[in-house]
Amino acid sequence: MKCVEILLKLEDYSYGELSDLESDIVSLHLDNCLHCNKQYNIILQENELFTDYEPCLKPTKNLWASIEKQISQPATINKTTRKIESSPVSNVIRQKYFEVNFSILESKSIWLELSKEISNSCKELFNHPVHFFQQLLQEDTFLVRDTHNWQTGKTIAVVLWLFSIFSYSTIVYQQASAIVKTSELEKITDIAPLVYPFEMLPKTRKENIKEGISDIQKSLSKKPTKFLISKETTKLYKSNISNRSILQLPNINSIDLPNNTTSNVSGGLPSLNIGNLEGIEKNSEVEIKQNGSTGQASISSSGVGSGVGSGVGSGVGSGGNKIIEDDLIYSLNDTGVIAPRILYKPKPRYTEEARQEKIEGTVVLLVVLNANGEVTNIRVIRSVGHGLDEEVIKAASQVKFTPATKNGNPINVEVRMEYSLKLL
Amino acid sequence: MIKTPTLLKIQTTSNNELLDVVIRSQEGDQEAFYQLFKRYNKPILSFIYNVIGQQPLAEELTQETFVRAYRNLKTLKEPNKFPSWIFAIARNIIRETLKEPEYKRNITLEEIDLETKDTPDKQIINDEINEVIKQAVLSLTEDWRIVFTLKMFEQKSYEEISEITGWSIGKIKMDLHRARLEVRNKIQNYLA
Repeated sequence: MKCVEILLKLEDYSYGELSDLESDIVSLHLDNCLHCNKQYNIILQENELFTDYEPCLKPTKNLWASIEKQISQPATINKTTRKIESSPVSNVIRQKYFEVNFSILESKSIWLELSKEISNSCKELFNHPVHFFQQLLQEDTFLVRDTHNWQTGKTIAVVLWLFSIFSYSTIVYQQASAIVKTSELEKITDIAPLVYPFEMLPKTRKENIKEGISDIQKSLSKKPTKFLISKETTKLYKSNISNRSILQLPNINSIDLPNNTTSNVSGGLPSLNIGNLEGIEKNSEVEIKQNGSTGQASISSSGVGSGVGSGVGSGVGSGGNKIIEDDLIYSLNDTGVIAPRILYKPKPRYTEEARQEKIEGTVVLLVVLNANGEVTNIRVIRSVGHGLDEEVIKAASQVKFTPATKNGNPINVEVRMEYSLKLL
Repeated sequence: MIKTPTLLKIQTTSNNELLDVVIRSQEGDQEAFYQLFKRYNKPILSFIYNVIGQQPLAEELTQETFVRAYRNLKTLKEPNKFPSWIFAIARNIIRETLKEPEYKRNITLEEIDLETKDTPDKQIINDEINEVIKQAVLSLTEDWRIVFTLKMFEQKSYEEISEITGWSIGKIKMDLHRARLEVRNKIQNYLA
């Protein structure tokens, strides 16, 4: 046993209240531990003082005479004797009952005692929680009704303890969630890089972009006439030019391609299924201009193209120039643009703050639905605040769609999305 | 090896003898009850006095304890538990008294009177220590006072205190430990 445990048992040991085994253990420990021995000697000294204590009672009156006188008289029925006549057991029960129910209200000093009890319990619980719970669990003390002060003190101490733990954990959780929130926001801003100018971007991103550009420039300089853009290069290119406003893109609009490439451009106007795109105003932003949708315009493309939708269209491939459309952002009003089809559009979550304040309104976003099926360049046109904008951005970034096409090629389009937020 | 101490007083009278006296008292034998009185009046008086702190009131309550005990003796189903039972009566009477507003007035008006007779130095010191202990005990809360008095002055076991008070042993241990700490703070100067 450790000294701490022994010290707890020293008082009981001095009263002879320990079992034989425990007594032997304590005794053995005391032989070997000077500190505990010292404590034990203090307890023994105190015990000696208390045992020698004799209350300075003056010679008493002849108690027996008055008792004899009273007990020889028959018990009279009055308030006092009625109390006496009831059995001590029922007396005890009744007293306990009244103590539990009414004594708190009657006694003014109970509050003082209670506060002392609470402060003592709290001190003990916060300083020596193990000892506190050991004592608490040792006996079924909470079942004893007579100890309302003690019970209340203990209960309040435990409640305070639990409350402090809860509040501490809440603070920690809030801090943690705040960190997560900011990291999420960073992700969102990644989606909408237009918000930040190039100078404000992290160094690593700047370097990546510069490297990407230089790579492309190098590769272009090597083969200026015949150049096939591989998929990997395109991807790299795309990944590094997320901010179109800050990039000085190389002039790659006209690249000579081999003559044997052919293309089938299918135009026409496929039937557009707007689906669940609630936020888009059908009359304006999603309106599709049919003019030139057949791909008849001055653009004559080459390569293998595939069209989405049905319709009559024809294209004649010739070894002409190809327009790289990856970096361009079209509007739905532009000619030949077939609107994207929204496949999945999650609803934004309501924040607790907004729910409590009963915030309702419409958030309007301007987003780019790019050729890869990603939602980028999210910008808030109309804000509601209270954390709802972030939620809407989050929801918008999860939108799934088939990209818009032009001449059968997937393209980037900028659309306006409206999210009406209403509380149920 | 340190010898295990035993503060508990050795019972001089056998349990059988006590049983016999209690049974005879239950049958209305005043002589037998007088035997019980002779044996228990001092512990009861000192117990009440230590908790109440006033001698005349303590005597009055002792008297009431014995009268109440005599009148309810027939309800005692286990005669061998008479000691705990009579202490429980005393404790109930104490609690009833402590709630009376008159008692509270009295205790505030009470003055400490140390007897300054021509006594040897040792006696004076002892009286002083006793008075300090008395005041230290009286400063405790009611529950702690009862537990402390029963354990330290009357040398009752935890089990007996539990029978007297109706409290669990856990609470008794806790109260006693705290009471001891309180009293220790006040009598520290008198410890070697």
